[in-house]
Amino acid sequence: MDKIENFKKKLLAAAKQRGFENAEFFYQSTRSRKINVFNGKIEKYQDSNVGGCSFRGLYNGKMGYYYSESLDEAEIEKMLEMAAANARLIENDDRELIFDGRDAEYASVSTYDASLTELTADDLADFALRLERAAYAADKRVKNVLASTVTAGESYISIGNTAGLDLNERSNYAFGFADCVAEENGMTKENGDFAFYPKKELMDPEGLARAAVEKTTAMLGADSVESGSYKVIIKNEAMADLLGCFDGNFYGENVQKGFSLLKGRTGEKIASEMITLADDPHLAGGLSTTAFDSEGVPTRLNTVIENGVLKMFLHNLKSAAAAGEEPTGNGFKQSFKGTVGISATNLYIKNGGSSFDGLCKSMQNGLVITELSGLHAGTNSISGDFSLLASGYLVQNGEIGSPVEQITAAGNFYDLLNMVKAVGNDVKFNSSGVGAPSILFDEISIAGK
Amino acid sequence: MFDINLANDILTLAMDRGADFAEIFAEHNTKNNLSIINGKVDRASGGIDYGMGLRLFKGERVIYIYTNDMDRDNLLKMTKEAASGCGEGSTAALRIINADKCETPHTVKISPEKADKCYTVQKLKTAAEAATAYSGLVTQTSVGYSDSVQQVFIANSEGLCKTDERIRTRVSVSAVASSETEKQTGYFGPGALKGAELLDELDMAAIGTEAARSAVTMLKADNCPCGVMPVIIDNGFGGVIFHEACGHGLEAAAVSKNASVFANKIGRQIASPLITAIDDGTIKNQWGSIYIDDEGEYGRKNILIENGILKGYMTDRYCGARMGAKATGSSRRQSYRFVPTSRMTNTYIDAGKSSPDEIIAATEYGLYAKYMGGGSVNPATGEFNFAVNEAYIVRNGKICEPVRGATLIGKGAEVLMDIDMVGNNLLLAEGMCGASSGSIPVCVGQPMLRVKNITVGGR
Repeated sequence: MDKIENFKKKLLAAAKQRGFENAEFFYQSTRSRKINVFNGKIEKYQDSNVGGCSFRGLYNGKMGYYYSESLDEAEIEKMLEMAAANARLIENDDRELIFDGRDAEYASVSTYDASLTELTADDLADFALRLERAAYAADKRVKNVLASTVTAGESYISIGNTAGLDLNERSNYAFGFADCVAEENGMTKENGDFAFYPKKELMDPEGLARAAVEKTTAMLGADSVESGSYKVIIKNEAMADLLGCFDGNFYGENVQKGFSLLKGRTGEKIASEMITLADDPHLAGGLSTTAFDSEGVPTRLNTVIENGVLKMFLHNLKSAAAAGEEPTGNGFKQSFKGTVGISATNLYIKNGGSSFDGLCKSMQNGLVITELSGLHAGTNSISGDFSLLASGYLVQNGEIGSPVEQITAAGNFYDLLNMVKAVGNDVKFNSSGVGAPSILFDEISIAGK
Repeated sequence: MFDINLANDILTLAMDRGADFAEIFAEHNTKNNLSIINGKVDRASGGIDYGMGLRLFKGERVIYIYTNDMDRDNLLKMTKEAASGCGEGSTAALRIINADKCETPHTVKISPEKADKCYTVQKLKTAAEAATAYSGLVTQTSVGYSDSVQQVFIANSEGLCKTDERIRTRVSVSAVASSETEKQTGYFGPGALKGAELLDELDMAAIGTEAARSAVTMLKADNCPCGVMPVIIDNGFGGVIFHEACGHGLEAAAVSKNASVFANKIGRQIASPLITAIDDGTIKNQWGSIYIDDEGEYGRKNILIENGILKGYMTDRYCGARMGAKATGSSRRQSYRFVPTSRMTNTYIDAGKSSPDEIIAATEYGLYAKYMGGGSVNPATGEFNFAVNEAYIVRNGKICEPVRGATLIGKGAEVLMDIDMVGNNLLLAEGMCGASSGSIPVCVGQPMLRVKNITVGGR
């Protein structure tokens, strides 16, 4: 850690000397261990220890960036020279800022659990071996467990700037993943499930194996349905996946640059009053839980849509200043290599009042979509249009019926927000940290047979 | 770029501690990125990736460690930890004498470090200006640029020791056309295993105009009808259909785990007799080409399917050993942070005999997919999905009205058999492919193809 502190001091001092008005140092390191088991043996063991730093600074009012994975002091000159050269290229009129955080107050959030650090390589191997065994044992139709994986990771972030900011945060996690192939009557189905574990005692390989196997075997015997318009329940995880494709429309920068159709619509009703969309960076056990963003701004709970009314956009320092609003603590970079953009943290649609069974009962006849595929290709993030490969179940007389595959569900995200009939009470977060309950929609266009 | 003595010490230590095979992959990668939004430079950034990975085999186990703490003591300590559990050592110390500096045939005219960034910016702006000038409906443009100079050092316990330099440049052009309630995007992303000369070789204004034309056309288009129909997929990025629906299933990573519908089918007919498919890493300066792969094997031209008969898979050292097959120069990884595995390079369906006009004229009713978007596939089942970025209805042998929002779904093995016409206009197109060893540059490609029946998702 001394090495990092020294590098930071020297870099920031050299930046001032070189003519940067203000400058920021961002450091991130990650230790990660991963084990994959195949056919009862450890197939892959991975152990890594990597870190790097990024510099950004205001040079004649423009922000220049450069990063390096080497913390050799000899790199400082090159980093500053390249950052200044990059700043000189910038032509936009954005007012860029380095955060003056001297008076900022930060929430106390839990991102680190000592029990996870204690995990030995043997503990991890034991988890992965049990996971594979349990997946084969759960159902005779499981013919191949393609992945039985566990990852334990730990990350450290440090941010400092010439305005006196000095922050750091340590976080850790464990993550399990199982992927299996099931066969019956000549049909092959493949699927998997994952789980995040904020504590060692919560690690349950048998539970994860059961969930992965159930997801896979449930689709055996699936068939397509006639093309047409159906009442549809989009199940929680699939709903979260769909929401995750359109979160950029709520980011201030996209709104200001004309990449969001929501421009100028704050205060308007854009969704059913049953929809409340929140971004909660302090959610206990959340995948993106953090006390501050990549600019050092304190994070806070932001309610983006409240009972159908668009309340606000998410901002970093720059977009907040341009909008004349307070920063919302959403100025994130993906890693030290990236530039500061905007990102939601734990973004989710809040629970409604119906159980999942209740949704099926009130739908009576229609489809449940449990999975949407090809999200990166089949959605137009700006227009809201989507047309996606889907699978799920038929619902007849309020009861779950036979599985359905090889259909597409098509529509428009903005239209969908206004076609809500009922919202479930089963919020679930996907592996990207976006959450949603199951939601019943009036009418979705389905292509099948 | 990596000390040979240190490499010797690491490999020797790993083998002494019982590894069956040890391999170092060290990397120094200088990157630059630019983004121009609505004609103004919005972001400029860059940096240096620097680190190394050590891969050990013990029986069927792979051990991989990676770090960018390149201190000798740290590397030897990590090697010792990685090899613990390998059991008894068996091998005598090995000696690598020289690094074989590979003289890549993919020569570069203007190295990115020597390029004038102001000139680059000017060139990129030409695309933005042309797109904006095309129509008043074009409301936003976004032009991106990235380059990378990746130097690699690869050494293994069998005495292989090579260095290579891969210089890549890529441009992306998006135009957004808007009405009151709609926004549609046209996109192109040309790239090459080249330096800054790429910018002079590309007609940036034409690319900007074409992106704008596509966006404006789609803005005015009606929704695509849904149902099962003949689909004509045009050349170039249309090859994503083969990449997703078949290419991934021919990678040893899937085949060796019996997780592919194409496993155990060498010599069998898996496609229409009109289909010959190739993965060719040797095409000069092509975006997906390699001189050596990330295990140090030379890239090559691999015939995958010949006249519908399955001829071969794409294989890396590890998966190849599991299935008793030789490596095919297909082992790739995004960076030192990834364990390499079998991946595609430039993968395409070879040209056939029909002219594009003949194919359209022979189609009474169907969908013409001019530009494909991305998609994904499940290799275990072959289920795929693709978005179509620009599509038209074909009626009575003529291309008629444009339609938007089309998605193609199906199963790869079935679609391959259902191809009933193959055009003579082969074209490759650049993309990034994501899988377990990260995101890597690849080309997809094909001539115009007609598939008898595909489920088209629309509204």
